Amino acid sequence: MRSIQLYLRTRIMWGAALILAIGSVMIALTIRSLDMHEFNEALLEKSLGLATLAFRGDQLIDVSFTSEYMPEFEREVDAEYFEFHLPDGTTIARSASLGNAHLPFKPVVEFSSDASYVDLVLPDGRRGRMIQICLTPHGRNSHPVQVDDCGKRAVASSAGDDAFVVLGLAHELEEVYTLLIKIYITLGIVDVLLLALIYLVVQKALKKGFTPIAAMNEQIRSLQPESLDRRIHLPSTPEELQPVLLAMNSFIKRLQAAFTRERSFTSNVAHELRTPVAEFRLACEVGSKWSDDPALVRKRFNELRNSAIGMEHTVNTLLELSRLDQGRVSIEKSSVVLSDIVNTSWSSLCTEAGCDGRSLKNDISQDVSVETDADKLKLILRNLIGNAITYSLPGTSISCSLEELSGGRCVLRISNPCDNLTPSDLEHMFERFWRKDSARTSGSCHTGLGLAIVRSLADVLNINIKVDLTDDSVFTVSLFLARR
Amino acid sequence: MSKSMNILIIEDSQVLLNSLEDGLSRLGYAVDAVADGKEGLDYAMFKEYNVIILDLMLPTMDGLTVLKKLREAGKKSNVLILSAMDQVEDRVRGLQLGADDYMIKPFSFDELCARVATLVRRHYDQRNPEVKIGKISVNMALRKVICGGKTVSFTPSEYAIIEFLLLNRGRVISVEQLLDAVHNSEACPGTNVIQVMVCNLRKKMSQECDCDIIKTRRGYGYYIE
Repeated sequence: MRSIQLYLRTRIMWGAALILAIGSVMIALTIRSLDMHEFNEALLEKSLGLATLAFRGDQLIDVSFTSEYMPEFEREVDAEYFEFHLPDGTTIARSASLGNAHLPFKPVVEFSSDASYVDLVLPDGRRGRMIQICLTPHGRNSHPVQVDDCGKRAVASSAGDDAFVVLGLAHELEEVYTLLIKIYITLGIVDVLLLALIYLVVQKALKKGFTPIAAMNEQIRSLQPESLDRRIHLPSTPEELQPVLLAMNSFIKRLQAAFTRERSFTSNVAHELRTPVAEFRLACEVGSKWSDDPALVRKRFNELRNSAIGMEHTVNTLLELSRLDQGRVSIEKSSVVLSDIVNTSWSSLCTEAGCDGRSLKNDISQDVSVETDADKLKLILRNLIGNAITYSLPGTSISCSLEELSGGRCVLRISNPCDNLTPSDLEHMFERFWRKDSARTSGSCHTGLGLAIVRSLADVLNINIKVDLTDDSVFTVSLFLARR
Repeated sequence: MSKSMNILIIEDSQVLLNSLEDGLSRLGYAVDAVADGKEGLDYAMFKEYNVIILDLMLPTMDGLTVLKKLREAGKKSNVLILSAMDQVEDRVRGLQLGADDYMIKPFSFDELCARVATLVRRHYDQRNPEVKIGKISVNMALRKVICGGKTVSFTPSEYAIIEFLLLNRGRVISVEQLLDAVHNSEACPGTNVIQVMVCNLRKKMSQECDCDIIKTRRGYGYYIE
């Protein structure tokens, strides 16, 4: 369907045309039927009038006709025709207008009160209709022929008088046909005019009906990335468009949030990389300015190396995030003993960076395992435990616990005292480059991407993450895992 | 009271901090370097600095808050903001809060030095970077001493003494003041170093220009007329 308007217009016009055509045909047929019925009635009446001219004598049946009162049976133009027959077909009387021609005769065996009609070509070539009736001529002293209330003939019989004659009366139909054609043409013209009117009305109605869509389209087209704070607004929204409008505005809101995150992310990335680049540049310029001082040069090179390592860490983390975002990671599930993986992460972190008096309280039972990707879960736990070590005070205890849930699930909790977090920080924690301390200290392994990586990895492994902060400043990360 | 040529650097990137401290010290400035906002504010409140090079994204207290508190306390030190935040609104905000200059990272060290020198001259109301005394012309923007069309080569510390005395022209500057102004006092082994530098300085000027612009006031210090 290329166009709803075109579709509706076409369907409506076809429907209207069909209805008008059917209506017109029905009207035409009705008019024709009524016309023909009237014609037949007139023909019957006339034939009954003619029937009175037939009389029965002692030995014969005769017709007393004079053209003085019925000149149409004598003339040559626009003539009418009659013929009286005996049941065996013998002609008793005929109109002068017939000349040498005869009207068709349908043989009659016995008297019938029903008239029969037949369409024919009249002797002068016009189209006509003939009525054939049976009649009992009246005798000199007998009852006249009577017609009942329904217009059907009934013969007043008298004992012994059962001879009857057959009258054929023909009249031209051209006038009726001409009238019918005029009626048909008029109906056709009216149909065409009505169709044209319907077309105009439909056109206007569709245009008006589609105005809100056009308005919505115009507003959507004018949206730019910089103007996504605007919403689509229609002065009076039709019921059918309300869900569309709501969905569109909801989509724009999500798009705006995505653009804002994108801009913020791009700005953050630029910012994060600017400082190491500034370090490179300054170290090189100062080093080259005093290149005759080996100690200074050596110091600058060391600093360059540290900056490069920091920048490498940031870039690698960003690439990893990008891969996770695009779903370009494979998952290899295996049975993972939770207690072991927590202990391993703790040991390696303490070995690499030292724990500075902090301790791990691992309450997870040895027999608890989960079905997941071991490497990715290890990365998650290393990040979380690493953060717990970094952001808790020396000498504090970091606890890991497990709670069994129904439906084959469990929740792993990592808690540590943390005195510099506020409840309002919790909603931002997983944002990229978010750090509690706004300083962008380069060379630090904490780029503000750790929790973003944790979130992306958790999404890939279908793990739900929740963060909480109690009133006494204990920070807890909860991982909702599926058991075997 | 004479003014000194002290610079305070408040920058949390250790690499930048070390490079700036090394570089500016070698150019003859007395440099103090700190890595967080609160400590930087304490330093700036306690001591009068010619120029404060201030990063914005600092731990414990951000740079704009440090700047705001400095200005609220009436401190007139020139502040050069050094930041990776490059948007117009960031720069406008910094300048509106009282910064005297704004540089975006990454930056050229030479440009930073030129801007710092300008701020130092501004501190002493010395608009013209070039000063002529007799046959000698000192260009403070280029950090050059020219005599008879030839550049006279001085060490950074020697030049710093000439510049400081020029900026305090007409005033007698004691040895302690010179030490404080042109050398990091924590690293200084004793006050002899100034006398040695002045002596070397004078020798070079005599050799190249056959003149000596630095005068001695016995028992008090040195001055340029």
